[in-house]
Amino acid sequence: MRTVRLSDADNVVTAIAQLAPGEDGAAELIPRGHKMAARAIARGEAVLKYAQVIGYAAGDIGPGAHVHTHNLEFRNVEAE
Amino acid sequence: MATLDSFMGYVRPSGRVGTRNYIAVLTSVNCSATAARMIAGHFTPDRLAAYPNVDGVVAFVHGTGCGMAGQGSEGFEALQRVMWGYARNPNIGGVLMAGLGCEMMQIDWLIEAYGLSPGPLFQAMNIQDMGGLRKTVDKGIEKIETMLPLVNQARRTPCPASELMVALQCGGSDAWSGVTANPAVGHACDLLVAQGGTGVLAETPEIYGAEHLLTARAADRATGDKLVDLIRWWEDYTARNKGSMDNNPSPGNKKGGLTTILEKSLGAVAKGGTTPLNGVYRYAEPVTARGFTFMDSPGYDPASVTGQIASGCTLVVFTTGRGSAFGSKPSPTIKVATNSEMYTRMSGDMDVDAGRILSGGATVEQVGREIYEMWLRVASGEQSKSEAQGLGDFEFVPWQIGAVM
Repeated sequence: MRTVRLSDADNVVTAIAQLAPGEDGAAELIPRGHKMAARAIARGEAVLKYAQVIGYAAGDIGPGAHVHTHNLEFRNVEAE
Repeated sequence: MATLDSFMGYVRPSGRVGTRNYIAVLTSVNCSATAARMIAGHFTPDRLAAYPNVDGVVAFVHGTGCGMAGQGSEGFEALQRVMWGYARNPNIGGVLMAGLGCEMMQIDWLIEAYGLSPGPLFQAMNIQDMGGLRKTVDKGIEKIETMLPLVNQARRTPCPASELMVALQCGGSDAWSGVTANPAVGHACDLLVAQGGTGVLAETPEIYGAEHLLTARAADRATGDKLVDLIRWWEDYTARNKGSMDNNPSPGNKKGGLTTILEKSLGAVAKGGTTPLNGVYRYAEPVTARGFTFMDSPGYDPASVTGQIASGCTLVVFTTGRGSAFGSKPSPTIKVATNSEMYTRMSGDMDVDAGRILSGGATVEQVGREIYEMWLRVASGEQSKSEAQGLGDFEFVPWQIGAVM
């Protein structure tokens, strides 16, 4: 398995090698070091890495999709 | 399944525990640097052979101490905290303070401000009173020769892991730092905190944009507010110096896979594990809380580690992706490589290969436990790679804040 999951709560994993479509759950090409959706993520849903919010889905993201600047946006998160 | 872990440490009169036993020649100002180096340099391994429990005589020289604003200015007070912090670090068994005599950073004031009483293990002198460089060096050597038998009396005894304070540091980071080495160090920090020990995270600019991640973990509101105050100070400091704080992923970061500022800062914060934030401290301020804490510092590693050691850290763990030849005294540095390629290429400098997390050879938790167990062994006297190479004589870099005049 050439992905690393940092926390059980995460909905993205990091590819430790470039993944071609079909390899290790990738739905498309995932460059080395980049994130891949571990399951479907709905538009506006929080993207979690290290069990923390790193941003929000800018559109619907399918499982195995590349998650990066084109579909992951940062919004100011207020402390609660 | 609770175990009480321990290491062999030096219990000091203050009750705090050291991992090493050095004699320090501390300088109040750059003008006494050569005197300090000559004094310390006299004590070669041959001359120390009769004192096997003394790790060495080390000179802490720097480039400041004068040409600066005095009492009441941030820079002066930060330097005072560094001086006092090193003098009282549990890894130091004896101190000789050497100055010129007319510097801004007056030794007498320092002694008075911190309520220190000079004695056999804390002595001071200055070049102007001594009558020049040669006489200062000769007298300094004489003073240390009287200290050596006393410092050599110290013995390691079993101490609980709760008495360890570890500085958490990263430098030469790469795309893997936040995925392998930093989370592994975070797990090691959690293990230490579970024993009642302390981890000190620093490098304030690297958490910028994600400070809420730490404030959300703050043990109480006051602690969280202190962190917010530090961030506001940095915004003002960088604006005054015509820079700006921008921890957003650079084009290089994005190419490597980092997408948002939160993700980048999280990678840095991952070194601190998952436990509550129990204290927030100014640069070089004594860390008094147990558990996971934060100390203000620049991202610049030598200055950051200098502050962490002054705060009381007796070990340093340093993650690196591109590679580092950093080392530190009196608290030794343990290096964790983020990737196996660099670990192999720089095997004389790296202590732990966290790159095995990428190859599937180990989990974050397994590497984290290895790091924690290495902390206990190095604390007990095993040398780290950087320590074995003798590094740490030139890495004393107090953070210089303010105008040089």
